Amino acid sequence: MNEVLRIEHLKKYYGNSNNITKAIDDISFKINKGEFVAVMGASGSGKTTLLNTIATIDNVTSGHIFVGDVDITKLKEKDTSKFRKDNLGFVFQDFNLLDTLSIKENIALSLIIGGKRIEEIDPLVKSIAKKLGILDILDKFPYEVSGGQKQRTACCRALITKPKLILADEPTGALDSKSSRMLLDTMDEMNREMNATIMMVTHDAFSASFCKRILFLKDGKIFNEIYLSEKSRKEFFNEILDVLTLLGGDLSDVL
Amino acid sequence: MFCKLALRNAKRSIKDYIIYLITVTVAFSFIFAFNLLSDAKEILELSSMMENFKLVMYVVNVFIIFVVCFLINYTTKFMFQKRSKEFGTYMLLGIEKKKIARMFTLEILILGFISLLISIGLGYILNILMTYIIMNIFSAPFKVNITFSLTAFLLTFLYFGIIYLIVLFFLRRRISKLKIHDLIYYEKKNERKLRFKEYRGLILAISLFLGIVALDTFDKQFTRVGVEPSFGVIIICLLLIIVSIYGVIYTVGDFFLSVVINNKKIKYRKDNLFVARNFSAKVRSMSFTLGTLTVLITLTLICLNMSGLFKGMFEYQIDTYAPYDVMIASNEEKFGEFIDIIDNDFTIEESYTYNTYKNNNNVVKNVLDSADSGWRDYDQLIKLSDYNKLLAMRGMEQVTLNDDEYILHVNRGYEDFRNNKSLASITLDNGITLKQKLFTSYKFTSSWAIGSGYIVVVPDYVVENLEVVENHLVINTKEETTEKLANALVYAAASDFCEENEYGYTVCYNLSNVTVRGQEIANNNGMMTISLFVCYYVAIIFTTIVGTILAIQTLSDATVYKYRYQVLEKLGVEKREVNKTILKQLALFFFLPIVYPIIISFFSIRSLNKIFKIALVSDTSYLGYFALSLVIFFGIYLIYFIATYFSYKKNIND
Repeated sequence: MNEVLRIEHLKKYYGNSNNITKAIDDISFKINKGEFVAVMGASGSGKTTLLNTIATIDNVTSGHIFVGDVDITKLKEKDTSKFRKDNLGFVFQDFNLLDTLSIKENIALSLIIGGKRIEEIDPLVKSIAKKLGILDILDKFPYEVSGGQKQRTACCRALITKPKLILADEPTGALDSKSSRMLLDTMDEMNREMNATIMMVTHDAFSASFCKRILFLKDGKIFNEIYLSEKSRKEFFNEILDVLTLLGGDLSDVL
Repeated sequence: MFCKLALRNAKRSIKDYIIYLITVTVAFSFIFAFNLLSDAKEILELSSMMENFKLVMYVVNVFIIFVVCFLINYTTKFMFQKRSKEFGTYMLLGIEKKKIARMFTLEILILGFISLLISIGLGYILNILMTYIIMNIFSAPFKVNITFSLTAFLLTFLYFGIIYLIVLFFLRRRISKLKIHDLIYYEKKNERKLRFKEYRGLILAISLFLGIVALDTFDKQFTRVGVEPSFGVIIICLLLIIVSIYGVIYTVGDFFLSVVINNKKIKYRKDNLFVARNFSAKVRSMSFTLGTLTVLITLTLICLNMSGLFKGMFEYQIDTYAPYDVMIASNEEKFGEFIDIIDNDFTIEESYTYNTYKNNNNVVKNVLDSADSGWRDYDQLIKLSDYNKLLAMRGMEQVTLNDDEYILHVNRGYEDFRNNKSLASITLDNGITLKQKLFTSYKFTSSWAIGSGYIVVVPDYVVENLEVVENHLVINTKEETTEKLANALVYAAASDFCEENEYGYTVCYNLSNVTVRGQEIANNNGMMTISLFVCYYVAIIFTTIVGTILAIQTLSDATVYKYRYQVLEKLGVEKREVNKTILKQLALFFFLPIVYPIIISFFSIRSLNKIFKIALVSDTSYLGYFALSLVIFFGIYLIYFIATYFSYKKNIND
């Protein structure tokens, strides 16, 4: 089976009976293994809420989310941490690294806590770090390295458990343009060479143009969906801008 | 790895929460030192009173544990909140809550054990210091004596265990209830909005009203000596005051803000608006904690006031009850025996015997009877010549009387009768009428007239055919008298008043007609030591805990406020001005919560003074004790304020 994520009629409402905010309003879609999907939309369109429901950070109001064969909306709260450990990897805008741990320890943390033996962990960390180009900073601490390096550390951490799906929330949000570019190349590599399935939330058209498929959200609904197919990145980027214009998003949000 | 992580986190926490750790260490040091003290044989042997010290310490420690527990629990909760993102990350990575809880528990325990270890060393030093002070009070020889006391260790560990069990229980419960969403997005939470905003003024008014009612009711409980205040009413007053404090603190921040905002002159002057907004937001977010701190400050000040009153009372009492080294009221046939006993161990400097006489028509007692005038059912008279001799023995000035005059010397409880018309002229049993020449309570001593709170001084001829009540023996010795002498005298007077205690000492009950200065001093010192040490102990611990919580709160805000100050600077405010704003803001935060406690403690000591004043040097000496309390409190509190101010400024300017 090729399907990694299947979302069926997902709804997420906030507020009370007088004043309901429909953050997600009946969304359905699938992501297959090996896809690199971006979710775009203006602020408040429901991107992050969508990501959080998949990450089991938020509950849903109705609908189903299947990761593999598991319906995560039916998971008990105490089972969610094991589910996250086995199936998901995370990359956040503000890195979420632990500053008392070295880069190496940050990457290996979930394996160590999972009880894996040090002899097994060490080569694994090294090989992934090498691929992402942070081998020489493994013994440093997060406050000693640059933002781009931090984010690549977070990518390593997300990759090391070989998760079914990597969720990235505005991963380039806190980076300068050069580091952003490098990170997106890295993610592209992760997707193509390591066959990682990635779902990335962003409102940056340039970041999105690295993906193979883009979902556009507006007011909690899927507004449009476009594929890279055989297009060049430049063409894809222009197509994204066109859709965003249609979407009526603020231009300052786009660039 | 698990332990390593906890250890590293602990190391980082030590740096961030150094003020808190110092306070916890100091608190445990005091607990340990007092445990050592109340178990030290040399202290217990000082006076029969010191037995009670042990008991009182157990009771006080319950309160102390309660408050220390509050501090540790609060800080733990606080640390957890500040690091919620870190814990959220653990959860995202799939680490179970149980493991996270275990890791944080380990970290908290590491910090706790470090404090405990240091406090044992520190506790010994404190113990030596306190022993020195106590030995000085008793003028007993002092030598440094470090003993291992199993009881003290066990008790301290027991208290430590209880505190951490409670703290960890709450921590576990908090963690198990947590949702990962709350952890990750904790930092985006705003300061709280005031609920019941429209009733703000009303709540403040009601709270203040409750406070006034409580203080007034409290005041009415203490009319004068002899009128027993109702314990229930006092407890209700205390509860009302606590409710009032919470109410005031809950609304005062916003009240303060609205005053600033509604007055354009104040609003746009300098940084007023900035400071007021920050202050009210802060108070709103932590009103409950701030209320608790204010209650603690109030208790501290009341405690210090009490210690002042007690100290004053004890010092005055010795002079009132035992102005002479030995006073015995008995049958003069036994006086020779008593003098022999005293002469054995002491050098008698001065010795005098006199009589008191009975006036059966109670012309004075009938007037004073509305107050408590003792168990005698007749007036006691004393001859002027005897009276003058007794005054001379105390170094007081002589008095004179005409043949138709008398002096009424009373204790200070009878001050109300100073200008009483019925006492202007009295006719005694034997038909002699005397005019009042003098009404005084100056340095009255009950040893002149055991069983009465007053004595009537008459010209010598008046007593000629009156019945003698008792013979009195008054002796001043060269050396300071002792408890042992008192026991020997009581034994001689009434042997059935004595028994042997568990340490093999003969302990005698106080016999009202034998007064030995040395014994009074020992008893008073015992009482004084107990009450002073307990009051100071409570006050120090409470003050440091209040200081710590305010310091932690303020310092953790530094990161958030840094941004606000940067905005100020970008708007063109000079660095110097920003520093002034910082000082203003911290001062407001530290010192506004003190205003109400100062008011409450002032009125409560004023009420208590109505009872205490008869046992104090003067009616207004309580003001001195009140001032002293404030000095002690501010002495400790200012240390925390200054430490906070400087580290805060450092954090902002970094």
